[in-house]
Order: sequence, then C-alpha cells, then structure tokens
Amino acid sequence: MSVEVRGLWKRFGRFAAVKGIDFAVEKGKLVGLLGPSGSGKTTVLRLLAGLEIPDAGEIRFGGRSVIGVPPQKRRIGLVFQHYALFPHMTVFENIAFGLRVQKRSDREIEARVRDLLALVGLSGLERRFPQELSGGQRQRVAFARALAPEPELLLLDEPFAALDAQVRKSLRAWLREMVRRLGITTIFVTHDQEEAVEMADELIVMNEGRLEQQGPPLEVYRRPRTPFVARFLGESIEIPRPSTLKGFEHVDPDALAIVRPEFVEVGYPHELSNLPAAETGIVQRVHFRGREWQVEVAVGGKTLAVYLPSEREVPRPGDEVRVFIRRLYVFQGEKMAVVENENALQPRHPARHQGPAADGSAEAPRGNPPPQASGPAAARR
Amino acid sequence: MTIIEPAAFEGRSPAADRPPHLTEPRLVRGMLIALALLFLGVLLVLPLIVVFTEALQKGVKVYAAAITEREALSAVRLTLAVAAIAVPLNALFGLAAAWAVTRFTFPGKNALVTLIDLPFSVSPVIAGLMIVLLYGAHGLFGPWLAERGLQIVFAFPGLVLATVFVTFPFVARELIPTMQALGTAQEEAALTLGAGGLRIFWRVTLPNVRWALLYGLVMTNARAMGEFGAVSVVSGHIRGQTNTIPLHVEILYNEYRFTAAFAVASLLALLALVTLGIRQSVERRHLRRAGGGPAGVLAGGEEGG
Repeated sequence: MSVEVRGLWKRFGRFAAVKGIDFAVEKGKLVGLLGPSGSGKTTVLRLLAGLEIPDAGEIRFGGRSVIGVPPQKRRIGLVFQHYALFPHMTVFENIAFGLRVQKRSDREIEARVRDLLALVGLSGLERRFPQELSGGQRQRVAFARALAPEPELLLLDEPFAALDAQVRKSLRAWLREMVRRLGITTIFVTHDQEEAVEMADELIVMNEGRLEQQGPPLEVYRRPRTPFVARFLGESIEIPRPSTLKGFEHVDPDALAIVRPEFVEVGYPHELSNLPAAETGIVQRVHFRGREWQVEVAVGGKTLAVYLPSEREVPRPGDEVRVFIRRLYVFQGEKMAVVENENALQPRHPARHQGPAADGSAEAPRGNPPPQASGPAAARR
Repeated sequence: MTIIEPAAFEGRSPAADRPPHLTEPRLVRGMLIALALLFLGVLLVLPLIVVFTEALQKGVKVYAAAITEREALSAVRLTLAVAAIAVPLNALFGLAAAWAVTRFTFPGKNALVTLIDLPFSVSPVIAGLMIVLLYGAHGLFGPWLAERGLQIVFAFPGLVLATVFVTFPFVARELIPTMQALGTAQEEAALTLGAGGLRIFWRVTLPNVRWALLYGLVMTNARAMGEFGAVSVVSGHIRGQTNTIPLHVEILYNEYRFTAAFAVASLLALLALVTLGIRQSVERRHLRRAGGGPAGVLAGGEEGG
C-alpha cells in the first residue's frame, strides 16, 4: 500500500511536534524515519497508525484518504518499541488476537498462527508466555502479531531499541530479509543512523518536526541537503571560514563548510602525494577503536578527526603532520554544493592512509562503487 | 496500600544473606525486632485473643445463641446487604475514576485525584452528618424526599450511602498506580489489531489490573462490613431494622451483655482474618506477576493450565 502525506501538522498543547511535512512512500518499500529524539518521528508514525489525529494535512493510503478512519480500519500493523505484548496471553494467543477480532474460524487461526510462528522462527514456543521469552524472541512475537491480520502497511517504532547490540545486529538483517520477502510496505522509526542506513531502501530524515531530506541512504549520505543531515548522518566537522584552506580559496568565506573524516588524508610528508595542497597540522590525540585509529589533528584552530586502519603505524600526539582536505560540503542559503580541492592532482592513485575498503566512497572522483552506504542501495539496483 | 514491586535485578529479598558489615549490629537488630513484636502483641494479637476468649467464655452454646438471636441475624443480613451493594458500586466507580484519571487529560484532573482521597481524610462521623444534613427531615433534600415518601436517613439507603462514601477510595487508589504503570501501549496495540473498546477492556485492560482490582475490592468489603462511625450517625439504631453488626455489638455492650457482644464481635474479627488471608494470597500473586522471572513464569503457568 503506498503512503502519501501532505502538509501534516500535529501540536500537543503549545508544542508543535510535526510542522507541515510532506512525503510519499511507494508500495513495497522499506523506509527508515530517522531523526534525533524529539524530532517528531514517532508522532508521524502514530499519525499514520491513527493513534493521533492530525491538526492539519492529508494522509493517503493507496490513494485513499484515511483522515477520520480509526486505527482498527486502517489495515496497518504496528510494532511498539517495548513490544506491548499481552502478558496474560500465550505466544499463540498474542499472535491470534487480531485474527480472533476478525472472527476467523479456529482452524484458520490455528493454521495462520503456525505459519507465522514458522516465519519468525519461533515454532514450538506457542505455549510460552511473553515473560518467558528473551528480548529478541519477544520482538519477533510482536512482529508476528502485527502481521497476523495481514496488514498492508507495517509500522515499527524503534524496533530494536530495547535489545542488546549483538541481538540487534542479527535481528536487523532478519527483519530486512523478512520485509523484502513479504513485500509489505514498511516504515520504521529509529534514531540510530547506522540502523537506518543498513536497513532502509529510503530514508526520511526529520529534525524538530520538519522533514530535512528524503532519499536512498547513499544519496542522503553523499549529498546531504542541510547541515543538519550532514551532521546527523555520518561524522562531520564544521569549518567556519573555508576560504582560508588551501585549495578552497574560491569558496565564499561566509558559507558554512562541513568536512567528513573520509575527506581528509593525514600523514608525514613522505606519505602524502598531494603535498603542495596539504595543510600542516599537529596531532592532538590518538584513540584506539578496535578496527581503526581515531586521530585528532589541529589545523588552523580547528580539530579534524580522521580514521586510520589499526594495522598501520599512527603518528603520535604532538607530531607535526600534513593534512590534505580533498572535499567539502558547502552550504549557502538553501543550497548545498560538493566542492573538490582545486589543487588535487587529477588522475591520482596515491598511497592512502585509509584502507581501500574504508575510504573509496569519498575519494573516488565519481561513479565508482561506493562502499559506505552500499548495502541496501546495492540491493535495490 | 500500593504493593511494592521487588527491584528487578536484585532478585532476592533485602533481608536475606546480607553481609554483616552492611547491616546493623546484632543487639540493635534484636531490640528492633523485639519492639516490633511487642507492639504487634499488645495492639493486635492480644485484643484478638481477648475477643475470642470472652466470646467463648460461657461455652459454645451461649456463643451460638448469641449469634443466632433474631436481632443478631438481622444485623448480619443487613451488613451483608449493604456490602453487597456498596462493593459492586465502588468497583464501578473505582474503575471509572481510574480510567478517567489514567487515560484522559482534562481540566481539574489533579483536583479529582485529590478528591478521591477525601473520604479517607474526613472523619466518618462527619461523613454521616453530611448525609443527615442533605437527606434528613430538616436537610436540604428532606422536604422534597418526604413529599414523595422516600426515606434515606435512618433507613437502608442511608446506610448504603454512608458505606459507599467511606469505602470509595479503595478501588480507585489501588487501580490508578497500576494502570499508570501499565501505560497505554497494550491497548493501542489491540486497537491497531482491530479490537473495539469493549474487547480491549475485557481482554486486555481488565486481565492486567485484575489483581489490583481484587485487592481493592477485598479492602472495600472489609471496611464496608466493619464501618461504624458514619453508619452510626445515619442508622438511627432501630433494632432488627437499621443495625449493622458493628452497631449491634455496641448496643449489646452498652447493655452489659458482654458475652453476646464479644460473640458478635468475633464474627467481625473472623471477617478480618479472612480478609487478611485473601489479601495475602492476592498480594503474592500480584508480586509474582510483577516480578517476572521464574515466579512470573509460575503465575503464568497456573493460568495457562
């Protein structure tokens, strides 16, 4: 079922949680509604579910307006952050709840619940009570319960927030796989950018009740439309006066520039190929982060963070190093431009300080397969 | 009144196995325990024993005669009838009040929550007087009621009104925190699964609050049967007609019929013991539900069978 939202507003007292947002979701897409807490994303989900009534605006499911349609009649399935399973019912009865509402025959209910249990991999646990299940199992019961009445739109509110990191990782992949297989239009809310990028076909980034950007994860990551998106998705550091940097003299000095760690190369003079265009910096701190080193370098009063593979020798704090900034996001008014360093050597395959797997996306001049946000995007193509 | 839930991650009772350096010295502990036991003994256990020994002092025959006497039986019947009306009424009021307070926002909500407690803070005698002043012969509605031949004060309706008033808070007080803790997510989940209001109430909300509700009802019942002050004011003490058990006990006592008075009083004491027993078992189930873990599993299992 396709979803279309136009000019949606929702106020709670004096606080406007959703301030006139528009978006459309195609049938069968898996969409991540991403934003920091308080950005209004959960309110949007509840408005879609019919649990809140919008103050203004239009919501259409499959082309038909659902304003004034109660949640019972919207053909949606909703999975709550803390699952909201019925603690006094068995797993079987939890999943069967929506089917009993529809007055299906006992035989039909039995068959459908068994199918769903098999689908979510919980066969044999139907007589258990929710409190006898692990967090991940509860999540899957909630998922099966929401799917039982055959909804045409699945809404998930922070589906993994209550799980520990390991379970979360495996459930993400499982859920993405499941939703693809069923082909059901799905919108999930999350504040976790990694989760959103990994799972979604498309992202809707929200901030303070407004929609910042909508698009495939790769596009949103590579071409953030607003400084907020650049900051929220991926790591970014603001550069106040970009025209003072070598190779960016042509940039409007009043514009806001943002640099990502993968746009920056750091090394001793002999390690950098773009030496003439490089700034000089002092290493401030070096953190070991498992797979990589995080190196903080002070350049002209600004501290930039760079990641280097942990295999490599890293500069020590206090060392003087060369810093080459390859690219900037420049925001001016409503516009964003990706600005390349003018002094970059054109066809170049320099010895890099980041492993080839870690940096390609930012460095590849254009059109090379981008690894950063490739999962879902690649699957779509 | 509110049942305290055990901290989820501690899992054992705070008293068990506490290393000595975290607890009080042996002497202090002993003294505290002795003091508590002394209090309990003097104030609770001793009177209870006295009631039963006095009641049975002149033998089982006299005891049986005292409680099967016509006026005693009529008092028992009246008390049961009053409770039979007051308890369901307050179950309804309590549910409605808890629902309104926890599920809606409306102006004056805080005032309502405070007002629910009013019967606890007002002396029962005042409660009785309020009813007399409203519905008595010289009361606000007195003439209007008299014209229609309706008698409330010094009659059964007055007793019910007084009892409902003094027992009003029990159910609501018990339900409000439980329903607040429960939240609305389960009800919303049921909503998105297509369920209507009535089904949500019966299949989702009520099963979740049933132990709190039962607990509230048990307390309501105990108070309804034992209430003296408010009922005393509105009863008029008409023997065999408007005397409840506590009032009957007082009359017998004032007439120096001590054995009979204690015999009838022992009925109330028994009621109290039964109430305590039910309360205890309800509380235990309630705790097990809340606790989750193996105990929660047990409770769940019992119900599933």
